[in-house]
Amino acid sequence: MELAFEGVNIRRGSIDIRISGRFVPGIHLVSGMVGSGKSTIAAVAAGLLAPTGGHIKKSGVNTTMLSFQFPEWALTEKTLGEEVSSYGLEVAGILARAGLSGREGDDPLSLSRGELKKLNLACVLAKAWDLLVLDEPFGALDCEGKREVCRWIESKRSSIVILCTHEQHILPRIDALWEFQGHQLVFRGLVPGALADWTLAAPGLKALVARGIIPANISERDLREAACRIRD
Amino acid sequence: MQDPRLRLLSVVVLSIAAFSGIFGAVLAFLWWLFCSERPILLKRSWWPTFAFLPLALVTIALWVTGEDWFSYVVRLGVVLLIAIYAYQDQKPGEFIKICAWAFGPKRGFDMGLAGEMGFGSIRFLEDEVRRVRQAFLLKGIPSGTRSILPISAGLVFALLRRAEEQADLLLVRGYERGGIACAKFPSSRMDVFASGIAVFFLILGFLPVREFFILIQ
Repeated sequence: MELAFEGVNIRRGSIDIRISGRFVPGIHLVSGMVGSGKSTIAAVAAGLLAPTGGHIKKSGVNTTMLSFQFPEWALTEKTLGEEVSSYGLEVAGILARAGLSGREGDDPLSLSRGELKKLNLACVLAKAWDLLVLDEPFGALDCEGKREVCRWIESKRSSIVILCTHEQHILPRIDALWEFQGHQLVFRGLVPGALADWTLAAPGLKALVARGIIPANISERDLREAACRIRD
Repeated sequence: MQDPRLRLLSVVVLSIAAFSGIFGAVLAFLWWLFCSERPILLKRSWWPTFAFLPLALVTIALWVTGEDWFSYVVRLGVVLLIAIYAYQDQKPGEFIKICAWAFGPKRGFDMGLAGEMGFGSIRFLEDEVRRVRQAFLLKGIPSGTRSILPISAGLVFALLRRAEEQADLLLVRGYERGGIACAKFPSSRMDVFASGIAVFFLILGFLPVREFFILIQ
């Protein structure tokens, strides 16, 4: 399975977003500043937005899913039960996973943004997809919610998972690191080797790298383990 | 066109010219073809062309009943094209500026605010429809006739929620009546030229062609 961007560019107003690279199975973190083009690459990868130039080649990718930055954009039904069913999933189990047991008949828009986000992620991450694109999956979630979503994402390593986020602290263990330099997507490399080149890394990770300590990965646990290696 | 006042003037005079007769409609069509950015705008968003559907139905009805369908379809077709151009070329905030400039900070501002909210709702609906279609596409649900009812109901509720949020926002910002819209209108020589042509076409549309040629002799 592979998703390849060949000289792709997307014109958004006066901005030209440029993407080149190949995504293979594993968790790919796409890091970037606000407005750099993360949501654009998510929409392009999911086939919802046609590029202005270049080619996108998908091989062996038969099923694709995008978790929108704003979870209300994914709604198609009037009740929580119907919404879960629209993904072809068993209602009670998913609602329990999202912490919404017994609320099958509620209007999805009666939920808080965080609750709705978790419900959307519970639905999206409950199924197997060849290509799974997650646009800001940690937005509106509390710390515990982010950790739980990290565990769900880590269970999807056999798919091509493109994780677009500016979250710096609570992240899953990833395989490859990509970063927007201005509006151009740059492949930093495989983890942990790429961590030394990650310009948008959290200050804690940068401090570790400056001391010559490279964490095994970017999850909280990896960073704690790396911090324990500091002697003085 | 950058100056919304000149655009409004052009749209009004061209609509009158197009509605007045086939010759005026042809002139207005030529203006649409050469003085507006119509193909780019239609490519960007083609859904307003659905407005031609009722026109086509009425034209068929006129044809069936033996009425003058040709004049009707040409004149109204061009009026619709001009209207679509006016909607697509309009930018958020322009309507309130024009109204405040034309009718003052009280009545003009209120009129402009109401108009802006209306235009905003149309743009909001356009975005919502696109997003709902994307959600259906991702979930692999065919968005056929069975989905029209839930989609329509969802859009109505979304509009009601939006209206409520806007009312809250106006209240929080202390709106009671009137206001100041700092109107600055960018303009260019091309704007003046294009609107001048539109006014000329209106005059030409009402002038019998034979007399026009006598005049220029």
